[in-house]
Amino acid sequence: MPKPLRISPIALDSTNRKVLKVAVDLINDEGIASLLLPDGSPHGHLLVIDASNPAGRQALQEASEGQVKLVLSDTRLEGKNLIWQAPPVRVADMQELLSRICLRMKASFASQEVLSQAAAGQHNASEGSAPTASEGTARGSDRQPKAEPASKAEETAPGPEASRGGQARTLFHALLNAKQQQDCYRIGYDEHRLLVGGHNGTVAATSEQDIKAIMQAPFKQVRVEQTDIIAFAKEAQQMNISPLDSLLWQTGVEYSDGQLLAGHDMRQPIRLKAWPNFTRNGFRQSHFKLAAIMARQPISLKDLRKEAGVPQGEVVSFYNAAYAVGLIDRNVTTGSDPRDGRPRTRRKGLLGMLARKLGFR
Amino acid sequence: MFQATDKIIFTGPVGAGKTSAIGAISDEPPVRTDVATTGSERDIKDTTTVAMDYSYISLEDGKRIHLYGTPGQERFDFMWQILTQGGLGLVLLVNNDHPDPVGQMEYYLDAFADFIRDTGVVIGITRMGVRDNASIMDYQARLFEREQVFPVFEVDGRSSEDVRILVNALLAVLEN
Repeated sequence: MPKPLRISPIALDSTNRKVLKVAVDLINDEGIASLLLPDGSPHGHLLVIDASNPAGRQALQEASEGQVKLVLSDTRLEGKNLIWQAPPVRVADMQELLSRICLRMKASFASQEVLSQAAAGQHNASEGSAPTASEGTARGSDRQPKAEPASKAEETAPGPEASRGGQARTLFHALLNAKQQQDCYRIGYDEHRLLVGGHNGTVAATSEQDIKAIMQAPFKQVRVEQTDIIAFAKEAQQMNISPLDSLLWQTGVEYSDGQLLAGHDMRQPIRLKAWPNFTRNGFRQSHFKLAAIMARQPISLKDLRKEAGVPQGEVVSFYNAAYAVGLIDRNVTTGSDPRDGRPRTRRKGLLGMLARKLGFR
Repeated sequence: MFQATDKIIFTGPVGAGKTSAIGAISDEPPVRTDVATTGSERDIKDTTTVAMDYSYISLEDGKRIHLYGTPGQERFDFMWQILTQGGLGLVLLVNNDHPDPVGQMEYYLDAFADFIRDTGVVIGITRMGVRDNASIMDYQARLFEREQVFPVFEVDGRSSEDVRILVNALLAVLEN
């Protein structure tokens, strides 16, 4: 099936259009490749229609039954391939809806592809076929070669950010690949086993010790095997489920080797979209400073390293982890420092003493 | 030298855990100014703060950081301006059990907008897992819409570690 998934906004007012745009950007950052078509285009895989106005109602009538429709309406609606949502819709709600719909659609398309290939007597599509460079990135290009260490990469079109499955350099890269490709992996080291559901953002393991053992193992000795959604669901039934993002964060911070993700550039301005939830995810003391600077204004990793005075490996690991869990905004340009004109604290000595009292320095 | 402006303000709606949070990191149990709750907030808590909660953290050389908790009820909001004068920064605690916790966060961010602009704020979401009327992503998404990237953490107001992490994030915001 063609990727990314195309989403058509139909008869949306300016607020809903803005909500949809932000939500599409957010799911792209989650690794769900999708493209927002121009207003009124009827050709998307998914139509987002405001049925509270005449133009929306007409578009709903004219839409084909086979198209998936997310319909905003005060009145409950039912129909084939129709998902009803009462307005107003917040960004977070829209993001969650789009995420679920898009993942289900992709799984459905993948199943259809498997069935048609099986019917034609070909190998199962989930075994060993290499992805094209356009998969897994919102605006990917087939022109990119296999991923190079990103510290040497120029910022041109984004390429595959991690090698597939067993060709990944680290567990972090394998997990990120699973998320971006929405693939399922079976990962093993000795008797320890971990299932990764890139399609639904979860990992499954019998115990924390299994996860820990795999994280700490030399990655060359770790087995990574692709599996499918059905096998994942069956095997994960007897296991403990946890969010993939939590493991991505942990491995990104601790085990991404301090190497910048392929296709990313130390000189590109980036910005933090949200702080990591430090009370529930691991952190290093330097992360607070890095997050504070990155949240303040767009900055390149090169300038961040200088301003923060933090070793490059730590800056890069923090960035890798934050990017993997969707906290980095790369679509920025450098701008003015919002601190300009704001009184700056002259109490750094006092604040340092407080930090020491709290046990952080 | 002692300065009365060496203070951090804890604010948020009734029942968000301000008093507990202050108590979790202060050197002495907070001095409280509680009375029996009247009105609709009786269902949330039996008592409510009418003036302020107060305690402190002692530093090297005898300096102190003063911790003030504002009253949660909006009818005492005149105290908010008084308490924030000259303060170092704001800790906003929001109760995720509230029917519209994200709206509550916005209300307080708007009420303290001038102080936040001049200093900084961190946001702690309490009672997650009790009744999750919003996720951390919901708060982050709303802040993103407002073009404000403030620290938002899940916290247990009774947990010293959680509150210390929250205040440490505030220090990072203030220093950078």
